[in-house]
Amino acid sequence: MKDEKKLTLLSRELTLEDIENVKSPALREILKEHFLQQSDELKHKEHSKYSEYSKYDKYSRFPYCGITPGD
Amino acid sequence: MGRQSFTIIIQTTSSCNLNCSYCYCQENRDNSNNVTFETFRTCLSKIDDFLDTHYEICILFHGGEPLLLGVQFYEHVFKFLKEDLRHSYHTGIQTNLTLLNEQFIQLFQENNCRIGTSLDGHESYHNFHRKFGNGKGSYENVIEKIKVLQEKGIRYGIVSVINDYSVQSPTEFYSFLKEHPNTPFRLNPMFVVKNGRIYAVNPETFGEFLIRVYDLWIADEQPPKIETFEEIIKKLLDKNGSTVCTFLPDCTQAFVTLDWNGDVYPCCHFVGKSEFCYGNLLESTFSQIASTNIRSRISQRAVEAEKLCRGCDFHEICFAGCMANTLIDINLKDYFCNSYKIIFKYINNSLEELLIKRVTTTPNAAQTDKSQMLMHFVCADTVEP
Repeated sequence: MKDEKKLTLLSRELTLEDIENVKSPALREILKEHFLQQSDELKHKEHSKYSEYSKYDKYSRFPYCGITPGD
Repeated sequence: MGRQSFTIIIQTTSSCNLNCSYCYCQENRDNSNNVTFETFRTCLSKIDDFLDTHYEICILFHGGEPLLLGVQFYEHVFKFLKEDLRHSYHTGIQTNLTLLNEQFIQLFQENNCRIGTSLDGHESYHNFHRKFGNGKGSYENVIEKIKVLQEKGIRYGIVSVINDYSVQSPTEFYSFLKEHPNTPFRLNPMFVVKNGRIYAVNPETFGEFLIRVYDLWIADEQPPKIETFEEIIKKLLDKNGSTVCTFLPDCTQAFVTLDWNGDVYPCCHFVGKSEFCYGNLLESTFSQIASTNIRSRISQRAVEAEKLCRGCDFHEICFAGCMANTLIDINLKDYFCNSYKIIFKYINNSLEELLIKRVTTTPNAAQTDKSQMLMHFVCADTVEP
């Protein structure tokens, strides 16, 4: 089983600690969110028979509205 | 179990108490009508019956100005959704806020309806286009209502249309963003076609504007929340990483717009254009609407984009962009194609410089296409090379 505590950006793996050390706060937050989402999707794929839906486990965003319902 | 979201944009009315010069609803305003609760209920029930249970429905009340329908309309709507909808759902409303009152606030809070509004920058930038019918700018009224939301601890998001004036002043615009911490912002370029004439910011100028704002944002110790950049970065990290409709290969799979009379369109930008109308949901089932030839034709845009954008490094990031931003033929590229190329390239290079280096030692690198190569990142600051 793949280590859930690492984010793979195709060929290298980053730990949450690596991401915490990213200098730009804006970028750090996005990477953290990406990391957590990938971990969740990974868990989901391994534990759910409905894994084919996991990639849609996000809300579609409409840029002409200031919010995305459900976020 | 994972859920797939399906967004229904309710074109509640094309009427508005403002008269913003760039509004795409203006052409429909002369024949304006409001959606009735009966029409809303009938149409929503048909969609609810049709969709598989794994879908989650997002309902966005849009316009025109949706608060013009009054509190009672929304009381009926929320009661119906709560009591009769089979699917789980979320709601949101995009309003200019000027008509917001205590009753609306209480109702939206009780029903967890998220609020989005529009603010185009500091007063002079906002009032440049966003005026009442008498010509008075709306900035003061919007800010007053935003303060009410803030005092009550209600979360809201802001759409900022970058107009021909603000696009010249990225630093000034960034200082405006900083005044709204924790508020999600979307930065949209002004684009409207009226009587065959385009009113839009220059794509290259908009691209340069985004670069300047991005530079300020990425270096900021307390950055505002700019979803436009977040979505681009997520896309560069993972081509499935953002689901903003602009960059989906086929937005018709996840969105429809319902007009006041039950007509269904791919998006609110096409309302009133008969060649894009899927049909009328009062007269048809949603199954018939979903399988209409018009929808199939629009879905083919992804195939056309493949040909149109062959050779572009970012084809799999944006899929030729938004069809509402094409001029006449939806199989053309987005008017802001050059803006996207400018900002995608800049952010990609910036990520490499800031924390990421492209992996060049992949054995099959020579056979990997350019768009895939964009995803090959490692952290240079924190990971041993």
